[in-house]
Amino acid sequence: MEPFCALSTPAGVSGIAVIRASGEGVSLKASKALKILRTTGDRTEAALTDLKGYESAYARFIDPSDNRTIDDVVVTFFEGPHSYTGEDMIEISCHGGQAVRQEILRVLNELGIRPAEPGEFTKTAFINGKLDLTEAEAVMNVISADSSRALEASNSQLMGSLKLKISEAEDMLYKALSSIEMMIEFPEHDDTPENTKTVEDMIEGVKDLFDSLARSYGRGRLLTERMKVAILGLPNSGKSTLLNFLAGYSRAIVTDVPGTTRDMLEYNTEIEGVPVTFVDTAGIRETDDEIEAMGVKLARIAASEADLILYLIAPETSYGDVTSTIEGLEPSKLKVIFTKSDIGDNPSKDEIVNMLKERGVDGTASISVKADANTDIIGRFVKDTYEKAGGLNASDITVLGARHAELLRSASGKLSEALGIIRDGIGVDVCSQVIRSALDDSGQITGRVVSDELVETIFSRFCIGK
Amino acid sequence: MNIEEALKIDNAYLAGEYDVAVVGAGHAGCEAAHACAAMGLRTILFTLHLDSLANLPCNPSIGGTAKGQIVREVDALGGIMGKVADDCLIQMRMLNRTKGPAVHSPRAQMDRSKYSVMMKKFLEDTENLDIRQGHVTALLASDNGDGTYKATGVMTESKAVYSAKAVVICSGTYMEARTIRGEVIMESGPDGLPRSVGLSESLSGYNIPILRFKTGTPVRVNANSVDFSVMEVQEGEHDVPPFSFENEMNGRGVPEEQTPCYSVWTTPETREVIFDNMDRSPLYSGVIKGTGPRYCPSIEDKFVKFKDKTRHQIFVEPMGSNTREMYLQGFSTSLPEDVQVRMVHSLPGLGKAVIQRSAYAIEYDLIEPTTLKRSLESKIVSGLFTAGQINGSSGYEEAAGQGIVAGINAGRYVQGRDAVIIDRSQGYIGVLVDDLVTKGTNEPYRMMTSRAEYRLFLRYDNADMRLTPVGHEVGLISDERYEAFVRKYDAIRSERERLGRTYVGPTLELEKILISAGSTLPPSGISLAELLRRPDVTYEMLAPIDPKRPELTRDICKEVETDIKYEGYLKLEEEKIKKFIKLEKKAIPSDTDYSKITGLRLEARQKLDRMKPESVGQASRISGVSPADISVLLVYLESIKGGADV
Repeated sequence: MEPFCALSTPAGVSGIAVIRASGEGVSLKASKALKILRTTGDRTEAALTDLKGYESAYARFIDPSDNRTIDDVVVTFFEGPHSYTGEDMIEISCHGGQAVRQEILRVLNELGIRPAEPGEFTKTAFINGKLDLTEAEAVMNVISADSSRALEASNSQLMGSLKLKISEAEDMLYKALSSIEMMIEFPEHDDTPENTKTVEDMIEGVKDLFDSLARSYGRGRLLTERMKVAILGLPNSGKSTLLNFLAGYSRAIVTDVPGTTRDMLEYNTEIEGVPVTFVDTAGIRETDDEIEAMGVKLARIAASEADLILYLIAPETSYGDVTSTIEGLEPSKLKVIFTKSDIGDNPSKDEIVNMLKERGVDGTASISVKADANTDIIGRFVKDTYEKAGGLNASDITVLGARHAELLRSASGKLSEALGIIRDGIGVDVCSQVIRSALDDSGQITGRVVSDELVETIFSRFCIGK
Repeated sequence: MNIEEALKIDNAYLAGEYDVAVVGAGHAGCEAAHACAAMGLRTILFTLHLDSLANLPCNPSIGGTAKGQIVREVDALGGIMGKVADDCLIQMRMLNRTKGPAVHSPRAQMDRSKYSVMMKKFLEDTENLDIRQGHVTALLASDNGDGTYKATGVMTESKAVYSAKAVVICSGTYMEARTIRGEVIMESGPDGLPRSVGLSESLSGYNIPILRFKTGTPVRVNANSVDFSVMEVQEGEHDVPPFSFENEMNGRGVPEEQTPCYSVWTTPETREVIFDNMDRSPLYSGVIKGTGPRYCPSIEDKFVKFKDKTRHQIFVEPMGSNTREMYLQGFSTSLPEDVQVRMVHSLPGLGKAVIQRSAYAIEYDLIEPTTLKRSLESKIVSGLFTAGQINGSSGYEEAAGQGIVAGINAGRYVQGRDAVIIDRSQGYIGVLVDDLVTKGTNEPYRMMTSRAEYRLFLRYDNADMRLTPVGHEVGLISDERYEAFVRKYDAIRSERERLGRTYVGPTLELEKILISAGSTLPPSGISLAELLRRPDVTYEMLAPIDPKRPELTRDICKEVETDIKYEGYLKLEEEKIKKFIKLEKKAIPSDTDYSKITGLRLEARQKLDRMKPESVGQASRISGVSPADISVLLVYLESIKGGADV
């Protein structure tokens, strides 16, 4: 079997995640990304392919295209038939972040280890005689449950809009292909509207779109489009303390991007498995100072662009200051945090909470960074927002995203080839076959069947017949 | 009705006992009957009219894109269409010469009446075959008591009962046919020939679902009344192999002297005449109820559906060497006769054309093709096979392709052998049959190269490689022809190998050749095969630097060149074919109870139960069956096999 892989730990956020891959030559393929640092036998000069069955190693997972380190992992090799599927398998235990998992899966796909189909590990195990025959029914149920979950996810809003985009690109490709096919099927009909240049342009356009979609979804929507969290509050409400705390909380991935044109600090980090950009803003208050007023304006813009607004209230902040500055902030995005709870509660706390409730704000909490009290509430706010926005749980995005990105990359590669064929003047029969093959790939996302669609397109576009 | 009941009817008599009875002597029936007889079975072929056997009632040509490949496939299997066509062609062309070898398609204009006469003689001379003019009105079959039947023979209008172990029905456009020409509606087959009455009802009596389709044909004019000087001329070509591999191997070419075809464009007046009389079109007034083909629309359809196209191309084709009749391809219509005259006269060069036959639309009965197995045997009546337009196809070549499949399998059925299935990777015939029986069709199905997913492999030049072993296996290809075939492919193989290991240096001579092909000299030695892979470098071109080249026939050189030039792409296609075949070979037992398979979605369960696919591959092509359903099915099949083996 050609090797396939999938995340095998459950959905959502966890400390570590396990990615499994199974199939012929799986270690050789994965060895390009996995650099062994130390084995359980304490060898340091070993390659992945040197591991014996059941042997584990500490390894660095890199992206071979640019040698960038993605994560340090533990990898275990299982030699077929002594594995779950009965084939050679590897298990990669990586850190639990969304980004890391997604990147590892993407690299494995690029190395020729394709995303698994629903229930494929179990199915393979069954077919290889690793499971009892009486388990057949259970296996079939696993497959159908997995596929209906995948279907559900693919019908979600996010995937729906992706599919729509791909489908529109496909329409263009079908148009290009039907022009080529028209020339082939009805060579004597003097009725071909597009010249080769137009066909080339259409293919080029679709290729670019596939590329950009694959890039954004392959690396994860939330890697390229991170969740934005704006931190707002009156001066001295504890913003800097919280930011410093968050910067320390995050592991090695944290990079700080110093102030941009907006004179605000952005911190990229991963919190509860979600890639997040925290935006530090100037304190907001009514002011006559021109420069400070500018900062306030920018803070409000940042708030309007953010997916989540954390509004900080110190114990000494007055009710009036809160009502005057909270005006205009989107209630559904707003979470209000009473800071410095170790010093004491804000005297107007109840009043403020009631006022917020009336405005439709439903998340409030008290924390103390100094006493490390209730600080994990930030993570919970982030995660809630993330899941509400995506409408998907994390594992679905990873699985679907990886599969889709892989298909789009493959389709795009074929379109490049098709363009090369046109430019080299090789027969259009080959060119058409390569474009079809690209449509086969994208059709696995959109569910369109090439032979049916193509004939439809030819008939609807051209007037032909005897 | 079974044989015993039929014989009890007044005046009924037992007229003959055969292995196979073939009903209908069009392109499907002729191939089917010939195949059965050549397999050594006692065969009878019925036709409504002996003088219209193998009739070409529509355009007088055989071949074309995808269709030319089918003719070669029929010939590679040991069929007769290609041979007869080679004897009757008056013009031959190779379409798509510049578009890559996979879509090169031979097409020939036929001498229509000669084709019919030659085919009749060919069949009259075929051993084991009786030809009988007669009107078959009933299929005879015994009831199995479980909703299925077993074919036992046929009965004609005159109550002549013929027993047969297998029956092949190829009724073309004749079952309950009616022709429509404006307000004139006739109960008739094409060309004013008698239609078939009763057979459709008889089939329906066995619970075979009946559908109704429509097609049409244009007017014929007298060449003496046409001014060809204003038309574009389309001459025949000589550098084209004949249809039949046997003729090709014997070094036979196409005739030196060929007849030209012509083409013109419709005028604004044509459009005006049509739109002015649209209310008299039976297509738009609802008189015609059958479903017509989109690829073969009437001229009024073209103007209505493609409003932005102001003109359409019409081809003027000769009907034969001994007639002045010309066929107006692209000008099919069911408008009334007086409108037809004005339409024809609106065309350049046809202003004074004398019409000899009017255009008409024709409606006819057919069966639901999804009730067939891939052998073209009915799932409902065992021993009953159908081929051609009765299965929803259109076209002479599509009919012949099914005819030979139905004939071979009727023969195998009588011999008690397994059916022969031609799959989608083996030929256009396989694509055609699989599409019809798996997906069905809601219009007359025309073969197109776009329908074939393994098109690079399904070429006209290698049809023998794909199918001659099958023809030999079933007994339609003689040992002698088979040995010649084996020698041909040995020669191809060894020449390919030789080109792969013959290296040439970067000489001046090579540079000259490469510059003429728009290519550049390699820095060091290079194999001839490597050179051949470059675009625009041909096998012929390399002859001066390849002194050890063996003497090879043109077809072999061509195939060697294509094989090498397309090697990379062909390999990819072969990989795909391998995967495809794996699923095709996973058979599904016919008694599979889909309601017992857990994990199948309801829609898939219903569709599978209704279609009863023969293999997992076929199941995967049924609309509404998802990849997950196929996985479930695979696991189920493994589990009932009682063990794992991979």
